[in-house]
Amino acid sequence: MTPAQLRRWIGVVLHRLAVLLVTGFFLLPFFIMITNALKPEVYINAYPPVFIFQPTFHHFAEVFRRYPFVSYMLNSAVISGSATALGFVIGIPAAYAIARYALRRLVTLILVVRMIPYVSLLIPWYLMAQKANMVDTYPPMILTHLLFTIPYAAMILIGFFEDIPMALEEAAWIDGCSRVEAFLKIALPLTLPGIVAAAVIAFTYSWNNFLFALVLTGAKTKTLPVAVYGFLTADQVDWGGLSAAAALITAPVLVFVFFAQRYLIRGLVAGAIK
Amino acid sequence: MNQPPEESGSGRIRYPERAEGLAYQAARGRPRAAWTALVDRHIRLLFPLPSLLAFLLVLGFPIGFMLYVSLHDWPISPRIPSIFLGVGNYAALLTNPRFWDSLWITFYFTALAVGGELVFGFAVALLIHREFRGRGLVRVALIMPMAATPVAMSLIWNMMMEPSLGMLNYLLSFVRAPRLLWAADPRWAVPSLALIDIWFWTPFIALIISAGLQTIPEEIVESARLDGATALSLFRHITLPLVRAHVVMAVILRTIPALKTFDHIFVITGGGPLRASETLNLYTFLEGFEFFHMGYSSALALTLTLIILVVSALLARLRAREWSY
Repeated sequence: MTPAQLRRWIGVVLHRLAVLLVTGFFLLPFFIMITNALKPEVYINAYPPVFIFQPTFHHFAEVFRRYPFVSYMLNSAVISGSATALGFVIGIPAAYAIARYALRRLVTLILVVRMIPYVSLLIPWYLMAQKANMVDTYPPMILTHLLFTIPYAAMILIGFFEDIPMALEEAAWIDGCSRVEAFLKIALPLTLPGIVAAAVIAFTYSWNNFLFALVLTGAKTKTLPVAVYGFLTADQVDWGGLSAAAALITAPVLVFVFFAQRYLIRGLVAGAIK
Repeated sequence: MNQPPEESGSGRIRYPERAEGLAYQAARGRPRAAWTALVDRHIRLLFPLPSLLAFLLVLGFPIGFMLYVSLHDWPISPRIPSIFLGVGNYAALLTNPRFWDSLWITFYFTALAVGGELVFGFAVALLIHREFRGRGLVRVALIMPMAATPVAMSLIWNMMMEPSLGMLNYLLSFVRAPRLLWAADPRWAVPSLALIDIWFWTPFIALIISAGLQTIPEEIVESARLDGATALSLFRHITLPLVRAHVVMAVILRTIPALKTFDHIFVITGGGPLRASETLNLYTFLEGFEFFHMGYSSALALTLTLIILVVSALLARLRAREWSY
């Protein structure tokens, strides 16, 4: 082996090693979560940690037996589903209008909406919900989640609508479609893949949201993030149950996002690259 | 269907006018309602209208209401009357050392987190810029922290940072490093939380910079190599200037959310120990929902909003300068 080849080879080995370390760092918490969720109770507090054991689904069964976990899941699904659907019905026409008429001020407004710290909206929303006797009901939760589902719908979809040639809609007008019909029958179906991806991202952020649920939900409408947080505040921390619950919450989101990964960055960055 | 376009004298295709289309539809027995025409004329206004109304309801009105609350001593129970204080709450917060402490902690956390994410994220971007087997899988691994439920992952990190049984101290024991108390130690609380933030958001910066690296033309790098540029000077004089815009954008996009970080700070330290990690966000929340000082907390919340808008405006100007170059 010549020295040049050797240097190249060492470079490749170091690169793969670094990649392995970095990947390990990002996967470590997921690894801990899954192993703890499957660990028999006796090994949970073992030190040094035990990684070879007979996996058990005991903790998952306990989570469902001891807590109304199914109703937490339903609450999360109803709130995130409604917030996403409503947000998109409102946000899609806005995205279309921005794409077709270059409404710069509307874009700026949406960016400002995304900047507002949610903590600062908790107090007015809590006081308003209290006044309307609606703490621990769905509507305030769904409405507050519009704060991010509308911006996600709008910002991600602007690009998709811009990609559709104006000529297609013009052809529809000539055939006698009204503009609304052209939007509904031409532009909307063509952006469907984008809408699905954007909806997945918006749903994920709504599903993950903790802050509004912490204040606006109660026993009847508790969502998954608040429920899993409750594991920590219980007197005796149940690490196995906590890990199982965390895995149950995270799993659907990770599956969703796996399919929408191409658009995730686009969604997070949306509006910034122009 | 409609008549085909006719050849006109000049050889250009003449498309039928919209009116002809309408006439055609009318002939088929489908008269157009007057309101459809009205809607058509005002699409530019009507399509954004629902979102404007929604923002007014979920954001505009609450902010206005909060401004009103912030001028009062406002108890959480609706049965106790509120007392008008004027700017009293604002005067109180400006003279409260706890406010200034939390402001400092907010910026300290943001600097550590975003700084770490930028350096680490750049390194990761360079690592995955190279072609290797399994690169797609590494990208998926990078997406996962960004999408996973923050509260759930914070609880796992809390478990990993447990001083006596946790995974992090176990890993440290391999390099014979002393055990740390992590977030339970007032001196280490903010760095520990920044480490968790780095875990959550480094991939975001890495993927943006990676997109930037892909825009660098291969020929430039090649010719610099032929001219004998070392890896270091290649990085300094070619890579860095060419992805500068992406770097600036990534930093802007992370700084604002970092200033508002709530989930993992609340779950892991709740602002403690000894208020060591009490950011402005946490302080606002605690005043409102632990001590039930709605008026004072509203004043804090508006101050926080103002700070974030000012920082955003400053960052936007920075970006405008970057862009023009």
